[in-house]
Amino acid sequence: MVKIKIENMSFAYRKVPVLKNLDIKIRAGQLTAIIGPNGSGKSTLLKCINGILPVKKGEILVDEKSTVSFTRRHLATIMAYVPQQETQVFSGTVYETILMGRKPYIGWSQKPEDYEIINQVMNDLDLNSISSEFLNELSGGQRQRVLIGRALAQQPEILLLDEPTANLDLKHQLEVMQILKDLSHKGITVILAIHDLNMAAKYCNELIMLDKGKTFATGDRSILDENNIKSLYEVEVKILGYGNDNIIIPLKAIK
Amino acid sequence: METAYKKYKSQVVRKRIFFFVTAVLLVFFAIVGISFGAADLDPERIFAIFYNEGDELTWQIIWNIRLPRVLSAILAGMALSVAGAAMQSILRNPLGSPFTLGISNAAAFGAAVAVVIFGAGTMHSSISNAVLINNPYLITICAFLSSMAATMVILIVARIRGASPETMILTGIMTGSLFMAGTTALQFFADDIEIAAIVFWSFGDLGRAGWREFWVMVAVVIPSLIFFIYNRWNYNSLDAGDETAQSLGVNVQRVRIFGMLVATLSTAIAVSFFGIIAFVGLVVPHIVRFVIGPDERYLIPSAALFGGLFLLISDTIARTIISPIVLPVGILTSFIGAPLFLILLVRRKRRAQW
Repeated sequence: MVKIKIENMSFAYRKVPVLKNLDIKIRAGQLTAIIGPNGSGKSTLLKCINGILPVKKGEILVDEKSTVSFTRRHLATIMAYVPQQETQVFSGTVYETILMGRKPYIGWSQKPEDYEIINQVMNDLDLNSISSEFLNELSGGQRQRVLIGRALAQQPEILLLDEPTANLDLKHQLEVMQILKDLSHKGITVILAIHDLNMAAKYCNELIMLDKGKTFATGDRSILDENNIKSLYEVEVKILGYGNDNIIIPLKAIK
Repeated sequence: METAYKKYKSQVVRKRIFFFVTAVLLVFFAIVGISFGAADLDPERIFAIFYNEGDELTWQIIWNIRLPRVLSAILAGMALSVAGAAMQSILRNPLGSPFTLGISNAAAFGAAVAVVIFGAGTMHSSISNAVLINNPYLITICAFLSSMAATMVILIVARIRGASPETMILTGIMTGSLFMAGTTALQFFADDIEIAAIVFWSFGDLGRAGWREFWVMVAVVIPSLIFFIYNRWNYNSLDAGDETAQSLGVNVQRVRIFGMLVATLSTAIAVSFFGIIAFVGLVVPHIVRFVIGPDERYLIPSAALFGGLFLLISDTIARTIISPIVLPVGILTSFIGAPLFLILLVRRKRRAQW
């Protein structure tokens, strides 16, 4: 089932075109990776899907409905976004941060069910032990879990993440990817921009390769072959099989 | 499973306690503020009034001098600190306050125009006031118009360039220095009496408070308080950054522009009536944030009460410390606020948890 349909969408920062005539279908309940070199438009695509950047040309449809027809608040109950870096000025506690995810649902005051959902999220992501710590005093891995928690408190059908494993050590990278995998098994459509091709190959079952704002290839992990990577990244790679996984070894940059 | 919720609730209880303690202190110091002054009234005489047993003089002092002053102090303190709290969040900058955006400079320019061009200040000899401003309404109106003009410049630029914090802060600083240059230019051409009147105006002084000022302030400050409390979730989301706020369903541009408009409006009212009262808008929100954390749902109401309390205590000290001479409260706020702020700043580093 197609969850998100992007039709002939273009986006430009002022006059610099970043995304050009994209046509993409993203299936529901899958873990989809958007990959591509720096400047290929990965983050921009995520922000366009979420409506953070206004799309002027083309359309984004969620369940066959154009996102333009949703109010901002309604959209926030359908999709949640985890930014790459969050610049907190005044940092609250972990609990307060997750409570903030209920923002689109809260009218004047929060309801008991809001707290039930927060408890659920705190349990699922194992955040109870750090619930009253301040967000800016957490390690990178913990903080990423909290930000995912805030997004989940929005009870989204679609979860968008920009480089969720950047700045994390190996263990926390695996941990975060596993969380996302589990979420997609629960039926949430998870879309992430990611640089680490091995992580993408290991966890994601759908991939979208972007090249200078255009779709280069889409499909399952088999599109991550030596030729595609070579022409997309201008890097020679060797791919080795290891159990069920393919391991991509970068060899050298092509001048 | 429930422990995280309980911990959160116990933190909320602490925040509520802070709010209620501040409220009780506010009432207490309001009574103190009414009692102390050039003519000492002990609380017995004040309470006697409530039972219709008071004397006429006490009644006159309280009703015409002390009460409007005390209430105006509370209201002005509320206006300045809530505007500051909102601005710090709207601009995502700990230095944010309407004063950072040049509102005080603009108001001072307006006052200078009123004094120099429209002749609103004259020399007057009395013990406490060397200079009398003989047309306070003209000065107030000019100061207000001028500060709203500064706000409009920022809003127009924000409209064209997008309401990013950087754009707004830089525009504010630029407009502020422009108005300051204007004031300096006017001072250069003014005579000594006019200069004295301009300088005197710029000392924040709650002695200018009467009932009429008070009711005008009520009409502006109370709705703006409600506005900020209504927006508390929006400001919480803004603290996490523009993109996060947008993905949480907040119309960032609109929240920022309207928040700024309301914050500058209520500040401009206070500044136009009382002159420049430094420090309250910048520091009171930080002090409250140190104690109860940054959650705007509790920060905004608590900052309102604490700001009122802070200005009330400062003003009571200003009136009594070298009585019968009444110091302008603007001097006292910095003398009290700066050390208090520094103590909290240093102590905060040592305590991770509140």
